[in-house]
Amino acid sequence: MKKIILVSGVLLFLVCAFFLPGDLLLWQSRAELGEVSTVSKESYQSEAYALAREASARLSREEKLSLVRGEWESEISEAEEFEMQLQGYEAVRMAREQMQKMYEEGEFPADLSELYQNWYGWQVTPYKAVDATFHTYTAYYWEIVFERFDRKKSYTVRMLEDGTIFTY
Amino acid sequence: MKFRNKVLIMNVLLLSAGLGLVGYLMIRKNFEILQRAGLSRAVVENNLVQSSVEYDLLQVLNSTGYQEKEEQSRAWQMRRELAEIGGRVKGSMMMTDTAFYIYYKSSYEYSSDGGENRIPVRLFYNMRAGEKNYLVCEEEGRKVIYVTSCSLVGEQYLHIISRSDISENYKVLTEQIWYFRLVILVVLAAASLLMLLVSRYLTRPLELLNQASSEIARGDYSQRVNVSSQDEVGQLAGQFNRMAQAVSDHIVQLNEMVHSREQFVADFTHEIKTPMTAIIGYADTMRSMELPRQEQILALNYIFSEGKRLENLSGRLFELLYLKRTDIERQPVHISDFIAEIREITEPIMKRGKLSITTDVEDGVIWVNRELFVTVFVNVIDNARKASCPGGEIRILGRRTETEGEGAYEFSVEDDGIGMNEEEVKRMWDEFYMADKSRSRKEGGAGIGMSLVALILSRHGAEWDVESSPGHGTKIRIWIEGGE
Repeated sequence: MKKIILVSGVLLFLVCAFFLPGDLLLWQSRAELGEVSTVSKESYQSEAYALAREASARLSREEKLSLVRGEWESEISEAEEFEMQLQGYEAVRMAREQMQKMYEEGEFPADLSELYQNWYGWQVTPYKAVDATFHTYTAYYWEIVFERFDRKKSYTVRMLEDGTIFTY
Repeated sequence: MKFRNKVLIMNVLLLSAGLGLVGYLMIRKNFEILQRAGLSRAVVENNLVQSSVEYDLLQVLNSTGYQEKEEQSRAWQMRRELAEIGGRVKGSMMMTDTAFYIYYKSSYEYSSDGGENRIPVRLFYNMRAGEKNYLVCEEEGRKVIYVTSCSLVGEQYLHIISRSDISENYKVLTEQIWYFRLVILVVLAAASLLMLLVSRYLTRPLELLNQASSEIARGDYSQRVNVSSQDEVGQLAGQFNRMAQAVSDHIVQLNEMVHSREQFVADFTHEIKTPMTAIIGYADTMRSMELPRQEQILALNYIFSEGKRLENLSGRLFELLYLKRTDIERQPVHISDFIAEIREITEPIMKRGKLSITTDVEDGVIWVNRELFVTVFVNVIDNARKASCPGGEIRILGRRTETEGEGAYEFSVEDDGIGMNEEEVKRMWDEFYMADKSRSRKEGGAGIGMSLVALILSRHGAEWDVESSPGHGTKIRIWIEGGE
């Protein structure tokens, strides 16, 4: 009798070791069905600016200008330097080149070239216009203030990152 | 149950439990990784759809026409636009097996596959703008994962829901479980066989020990175990062999003792019977017939001498028994005085045998029982006398020596008599043993003397040995502590 109990116990243990882990796994997988969980933000959101950058890549120049000018509902705020694709001095050089062309074509009143004695210093600030609905789509632009050395003349120029000069 | 079977069962149980646990943990972890990958893929797909829908919606929301409309009209346009956007996004999407739905203002505005009725409503509960929820459920035998985003558009929540099929993960899980079961079956079978062999090999020495113990228990004390390993079992086998040897030696000793006792009884009976026969015979003759006076005296002399022999025998036996049971008292004995006393005692019997006795002893003191040591020397010298021929010489020598680095005294009694062979030398200390029975009896001996000598010497802690060969005399040497 003792032997029968022992053998039965051993066989039962072996059967359990054979079937139990698999059955437990299947049971657990079934038990987890139907549970609503929140996706951790880390798994779908990188840094906010990276997300904005990624989504904003779809925006055309006109759409960006619409955001900046407020034609599309947007919120404008100062951007951080690291959010911008260009450095400040690069943006100034790009703007200066375009303003020079405009000056030569008679579309801008001042020669901003550095070669002349009426030398203009500059001050640059990055801005971003974020859509007010989804807070995702963003247009980045620079606001550059050129000021003559004697402070008698100054011009404010706004430029998208692709070099588009615009006015409000 | 045999020990090796217990070992086997325990190992198999532990192995199966271990395999089960490890298999469970590994498959579980693998499944979690698959599920995470599935969720990650589903979230990326939802992001893509959400991004596309919101981009198109952004243009609608900011169009002049939309902004100028009434609230009611806006809602209608929004619904129409969402349906159109959904269609456009579906057309531009590369994902063929992922369905998506647009839920706005408590109703589905777009469904890519018409399966919006299957979506559990609890998926949207308590969601806030910017969050994403997911849900894994079973639909028509397939496992799907729903991911929904939540945005706030015009004070109404907009949900972009995507649905991906992750049945493959569950298929992999099922396959892994069955593969694991196959593995556990094969591993357990192979391991059981291997462990059976190993347990047999490991418990083989124990089996041998068991068999040897059984044989010894049945009386075969010659059984030994041949185990050469140096482990605990090997050491146990070694100890067992030593124990068996000790038991065997003890049994031999016991047998010898029993034999010795039996021999003692037989010899004692014989020694009693011989004089008793003579006494009874002469007494019967004297009472049965009228003998001449001279023959009567002869018969009475026989009766007397045999009676004396019996008395002598009983006296010696008493001494033997007495010595075995009582402590002996020692006193300092000056060797030169002692030997002189011995000479004096033995002188008459030496003269009768026409033998001479010479002594050459170094003086010294030994701590012994004087009376008992006199008995030792008288017996040894008397034995030498019996073995010697008339005109022979018996020499008593003594000198100081050392045994095991300590001071000792060596006595030596030598004769040039008939000597003894090896067997006789071995048995000369046994009770009632007489190398030459007729001669000993004639001399009144009973074969007790040398047994008494051996007993006295052993009680004094002395050592002794005998050198003898037939025709070349005998030399008995005795070593005793002291002698300074």
